[in-house]
Parts: sequence; structure tokens; C-alpha cells
Amino acid sequence: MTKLHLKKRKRFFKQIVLISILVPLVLLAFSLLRFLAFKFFNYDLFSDLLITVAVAVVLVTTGYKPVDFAVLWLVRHVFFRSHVNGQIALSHLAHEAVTILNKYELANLIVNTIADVYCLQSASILLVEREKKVYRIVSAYGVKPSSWKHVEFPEQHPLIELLRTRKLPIDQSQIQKIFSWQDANKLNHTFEQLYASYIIPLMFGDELIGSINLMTTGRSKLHSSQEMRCFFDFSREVSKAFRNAIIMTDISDANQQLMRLQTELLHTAQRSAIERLATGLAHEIHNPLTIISGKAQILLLKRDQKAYDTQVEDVLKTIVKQTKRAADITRKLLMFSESQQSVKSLLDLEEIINDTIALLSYQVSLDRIQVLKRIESPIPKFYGNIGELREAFLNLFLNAVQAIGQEGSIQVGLRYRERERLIELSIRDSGPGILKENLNKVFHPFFTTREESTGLGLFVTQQIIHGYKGKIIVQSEEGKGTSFTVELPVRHEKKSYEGNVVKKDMPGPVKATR
Amino acid sequence: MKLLIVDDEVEICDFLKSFFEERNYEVRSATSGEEALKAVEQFKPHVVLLDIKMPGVNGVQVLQEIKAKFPKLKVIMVTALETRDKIEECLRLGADNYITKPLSLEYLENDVREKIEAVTNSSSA
Repeated sequence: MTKLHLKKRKRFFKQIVLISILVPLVLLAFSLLRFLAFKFFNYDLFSDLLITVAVAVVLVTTGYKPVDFAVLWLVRHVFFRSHVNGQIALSHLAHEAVTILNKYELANLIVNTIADVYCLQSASILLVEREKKVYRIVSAYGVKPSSWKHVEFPEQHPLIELLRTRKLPIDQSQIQKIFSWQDANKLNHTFEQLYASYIIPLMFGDELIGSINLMTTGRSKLHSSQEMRCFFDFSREVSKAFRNAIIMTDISDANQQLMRLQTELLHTAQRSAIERLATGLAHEIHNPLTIISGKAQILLLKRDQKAYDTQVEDVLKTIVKQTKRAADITRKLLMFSESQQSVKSLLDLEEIINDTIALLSYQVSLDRIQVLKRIESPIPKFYGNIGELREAFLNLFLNAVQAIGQEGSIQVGLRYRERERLIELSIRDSGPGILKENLNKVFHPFFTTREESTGLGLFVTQQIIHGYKGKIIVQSEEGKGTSFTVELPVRHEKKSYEGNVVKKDMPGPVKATR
Repeated sequence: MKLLIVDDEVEICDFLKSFFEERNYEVRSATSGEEALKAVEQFKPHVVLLDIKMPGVNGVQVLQEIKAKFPKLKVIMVTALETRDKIEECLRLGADNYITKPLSLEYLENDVREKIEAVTNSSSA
């Protein structure tokens, strides 16, 4: 009977039942005794207080044991019923587990459910990471994340070897009997690291996938060997689910990494191609421009001696000015491709937008696209990487220009939403709009509806904006156009360490920040 | 006031040469890196205007050799367009200024004069 453990709530309930049965029973027995004593001995039990108390105590002590036994029997039925419920919950869980293909999600579900069903103090799941050849805790209940996040064991760790060879649950209270004194000591330490008193291996064939680690307390319902066996069966079922989830998680991680690398590669290739193009182009264009402009400047410098009429002077000035303008376009092209390496500084977004529009002005005028700019000054300076922001804006503009094709308008808006401390950039085009089913795909890498596009522009833009904890929202109406809204949070206070680094690198503009 | 102009584009060398000669500079020009290095040894200019992109020995290599042999010689890099990395490399190697084409002749002349004055002042002092 002493082995029977009840929940606190149930123990309290048991006491109430016990008292409510015991008190009337004792009173009844006392009245009977008094009646008998009076009838046969003509003695009133109430006449002496001492005797009254003594009789009551005798009655209570003799009555307690049988009543307690009866009540416990009753309560045990309630307890037993909930235990059956626990088994049902486990078997449901085992079925559900197969459908979950993310190992973290699966581990969380199992840890939380078993801890609840068995009233455990703590529970955790150790899973293999094949690539790194380690076993790591992926989820835990009842332990602070900071204390389990770093727990990992190499493949050669004694515990891992032991679980792999024994393939059976290990009970901390039994290790002294099974292992030598030294080995038991070492294992005890491992149990502490895992916050466990039981470690149940998760096996798939001969492969050790991981383990379920439990810490029971007095009120936990995992003590009888039958309960343990039941739990071990459950762990065998779940092993299959874990194996599948591990494989799926690995595949999806690898897939994501591949996608990211592919994007990066294409992006860098694109950028270095632009760089080569810009510098090569500049060599071919700037040299003749230098000669044209230089000769015009020489003539202009001689104007005092030669006394040109004003028309000639104007022409010469125009030549100098326009050659500079022509050179600016390749310079801007290079400026836009040189991005990632640049350091962060305080930026004037209005200027960046004007630069971007200037870069596209030729194409825009060729396609008869009107650009309407609406900038609500003042716009606060934005702390960021100039190359990244140029690239993000350029991608949005290019997208708008390409969406319109021929004839239309682009509305560009820039304003500061003071209360939310957000800089808002909106670019609205009068293009054909985006099909509803494509709307949530526009930011996916390699998604494009145009043959000549790589489908990276908007993806890269989104990555950049997210890098600044900003948001990018797309709205579109078929036949009417599309608008992209970018919200960039203005950070007024910078973390001190960041400030220090930046101040060292760029003494000029950063001093202005608060 | 001796000036060496290095550019693989003959036309550019020619008009810069006549521009500076009219302003009483003694000017030589070179159209390749090899030629430039020879001219530096023989002509001993005060300032070199040096193009970066040239076939054969390029401007950066010329700059390196000049600064190794004549650390006091002023070198102004003149280039069409270069990446920031290239510009930083030149400045690290000791280039005294960096000017992009198309050139503003007024600015260029001022800069050349300043550099020559700095050299002649320090050597006479």
C-alpha cells in the first residue's frame, strides 16, 4: 500500500472522505458504547472527561486503519482509471507522431504529452545529428532552455555506447547493481546532465536515434514495471516517427541551404558581371569622352584670347557638361553593383531614390513611363548599408518599369511615420497587376513571369529589408497595377558595442546619431 | 616643373601634353607601363599622371615600382572607372591622388601645381 502514490489533489480528497466517514462512525460507536454501559453497568461515559477522551481515542485508532484501507481502495479506482486514460493518450500520440515530419515539432509534442500524462518533473529528448556525429537535446520539459540547449554527447560517449549495445531503458536507481562503482559514478553524472532518472533509448533496428530522458517524482505515475514496459513499447513506436522526422528535417535543411547558396552564387556572379561590364565599358567610353571634353575645355580656357561669340561658348560648355553626364551613367552602374562590402553609415534615402531614378531615367523615357515623385520632407537619416539599400530600391524600380513595359506611370512616395518611427517607401506602377495566385510567390527565389528575369530581384530586396527588421508588402489589382510598400524602422539608439565599432571605422557621419 | 603623362590612349597624352606645355611645364608622355618606368629613370619628373588600365605592365604595377624606387615622387592616378577595392589599393600603395575621366583640366592643373610646389619646397628647404 505504501507504494501507492497519489496526486496531491487526490490525497486531499482522500483525507476529506476519510474524515467524513470516520467521524460519524466513531460517533455512532460511541453512542452505542454509552448506551450499553448505561444499560448494563448503569454508568454514564460522559461523567468523567478523561474516560470520554480515552474511549474516543481507542475508537478512532481502531477504526482508522480499516476505513483508510476502504477509502484508498475507492480512490485507487479513480487513479487506475486515469492510468488507463494515460495509456490511451500514449497510443494516440504514437499514431499522431508518424504524421509529424519536423523533428523539433515532434520532440516538443512528445515531451509535453508524456510529462503531462505521467506527471513527470522533467522530460527531454536527445536526438542524433548525423552530420556532426553528436547527440543533442532538441526539446525539454521542466528544464530551463538555457541549461539544456548546450547539452550534447559525441558518438563515443559512454552513455551513447551503452544505450546502443544494451538497447534497453536504464534506471538510475539500478545502475549501482549493474555496473562497477566507477562506471556507475560516471553514469550518474550523465543522468544529472540530462535531468533524468530514466533513460529510454530510441532504436531503429541497430541504429540508436536518440533517447527519451525522464525525471520522475513521488507523484509521477511511472513506477510499476508494467508501466515502464508500456512506456518502452511506446518509445519503440515513436522511434520510427523520429527516424522519418530526422531524415525529413535533414533533407529540408539541406534543400534550404542549397537554395540559399544557389541564390548567393547567382547574386555574386551577377554583381561581379556588372562590375566587369561597368569598368570595361568605362574604359571604352570614358577615354573618348575625356578627349572630347578635354579639347572643349582647352578651347574654353582660351576664350579670353580668342573672343568667341556667346553661341560658341555655350556649345563648348554644353559639350563639357554632357560628357560628364554620359560618364556618370557607368559610374552609377558600378556604384550599384558595389554593395555588400560597404560599411553602414547614416544615409539620406531621398538621395538614394533620386540616384536610382536617375539610373533608370533613360529606359523610363524610352518606354514613355512617367515617374511621379512625392517626398514628404524631412525624412530622417537611416543607418544602413548604402549598397544594400540602393540594390533594394533599384530592384523595386526595375520591377515596376518591367511590369509596365510601354507607357504608364510609376508613383514613388517617401514619408516618415513619426509615431511608429518608420520610413515608408511606396512604389506603385500602372502595370497589368499580379495574378492572385502568384501574389504570395513574388518574393520566392527564382519566381518570375518574365523570360529574361532571374527571379531574384524581389527575393533579394525582401532579404535586405528583413535585414533591417523592416517589412515589405505587396498589393495588386489585376488590370490596375501593383504597389510595393517598404517600411523601415528608424533606430535612434544604437547598442553601444555597435556604436563603438562604427565610430572607429567612420568617424564622420556617425557622430550625429544619438 | 617636370611632368610625366602615362596613358595608353595617344590622343589623351597629346592634348594633355599640349595643355601643360602651354602652361610652361616640361612634359614627357609614355603610352605603356614599360615606357613609363624608363621615362621615370631618365626624365626624373616631379609628378606622374598615371592611367591604371593599360596593356602589359598596368598602372598599379608602375605605381608600386615608382614608389619603391622614388618614394618622394608624386603620383596622381588618372582612370576611367575602377572598383572601390582598386582605388583603395592604389591609395595604400602610396598614390597621392585619384582622378576619374573625363577630366576637369582646371582641377587637374591645380592639383599638379600643388604637388610640384610641395616637392620643390621640401627639397629647397
